[in-house]
Amino acid sequence: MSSKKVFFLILIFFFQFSSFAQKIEEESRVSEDVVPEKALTFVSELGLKNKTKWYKERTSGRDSYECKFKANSKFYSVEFDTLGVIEDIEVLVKKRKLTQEELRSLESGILKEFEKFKWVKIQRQFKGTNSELNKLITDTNETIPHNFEVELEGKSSEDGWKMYELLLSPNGEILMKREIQLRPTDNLNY
Amino acid sequence: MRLLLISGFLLISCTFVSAQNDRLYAGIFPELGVNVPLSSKLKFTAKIESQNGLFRNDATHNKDWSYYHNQTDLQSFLEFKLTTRIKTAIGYQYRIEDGDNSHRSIQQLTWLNQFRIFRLGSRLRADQKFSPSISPEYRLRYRASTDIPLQGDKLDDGEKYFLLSNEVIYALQEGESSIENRVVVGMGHFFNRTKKLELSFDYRTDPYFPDIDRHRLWCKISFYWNLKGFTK
Repeated sequence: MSSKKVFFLILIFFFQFSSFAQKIEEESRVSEDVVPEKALTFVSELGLKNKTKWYKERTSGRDSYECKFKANSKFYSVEFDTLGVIEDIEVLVKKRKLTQEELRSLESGILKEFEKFKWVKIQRQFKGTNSELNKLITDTNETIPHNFEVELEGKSSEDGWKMYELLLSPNGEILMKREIQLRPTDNLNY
Repeated sequence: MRLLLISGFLLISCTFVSAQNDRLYAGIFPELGVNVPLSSKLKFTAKIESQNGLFRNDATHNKDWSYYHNQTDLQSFLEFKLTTRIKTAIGYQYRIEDGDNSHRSIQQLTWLNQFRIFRLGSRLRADQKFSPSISPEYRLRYRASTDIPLQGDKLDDGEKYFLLSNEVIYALQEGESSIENRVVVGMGHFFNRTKKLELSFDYRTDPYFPDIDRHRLWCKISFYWNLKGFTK
């Protein structure tokens, strides 16, 4: 077989690459057609101008639906159970947008757990009734008491530096802590 | 699929059009990387990569479609984790190249930035090449690379990702400088945390001083394998 044929056969193999793998997903993009009616109604009542993206998630064997969108210059993620009942709303927030008091409480809570830490991601996590959560998005001045879900790099004397996800109360109490396994970076480093 | 098709088509067209009056080489480039963690902070990486040419167009080969072995590199690295996202490594490479085998020492610092929908890996590397027949070559290089999940915001087992990287390499040899640029576009399949396969196009141009006169296009097939090693 000539080199020319080998080269073109390899090109064909490259383009066929995406079709051979099995699809096993933990989080997958889905169309609105498969989303529970109740969840679609909640989102449509928000009167969003930007497009929404729907995902189906499986966490520890439990399914849920998540709608992600941008509104009021903020990134929202609204989670529903399989019946379309709203579970929570998470709003991405920059560290500099936190109030001094919020920042102080969170930092003091985190420093009880770690010697040092670096922020990676901060989200406000709201739970409440449908109308409370609706107002939260449609009325920018509206707020309700909420927790914070944060991702950070934390250093402890036993474990060194590791990546964690924490759920913190507004006064900095750690309600949940779990280690995040970073995806291997060998393809980016070598 | 469409992403790989479009980017591959653009890259191949771009290579053949821009290289009409320049030297042009193309071929396949398989590589295998194996990682073994030695402790929670230390990791050993072994890598083999081989450039196998299938096409040459230069002063001595006129659009010649024939196989030739260009070079094979055997690399080893010892990596030290500074934080979860910053790592440093030292390495050694032995290059098998027709009649001109060489040694290379490598030092690198890598760091990772996480953005809302993708992550950006940066690699700053210095290397020094020594061979009995040629003067030492010193290089300083920076590569920015990203892998973006194609199904959802995070990459789960069995899913694919789009990969893109660009590397700029400054080289100094016998007082003469040159620059090389490497663009890589492709797709990866994330089997699980221990294995991934990438298929990509690697397009290299040099020497930029005074002008580009060499183009190389490699169809890269990379397999990364993370062994459990000696950690818990």
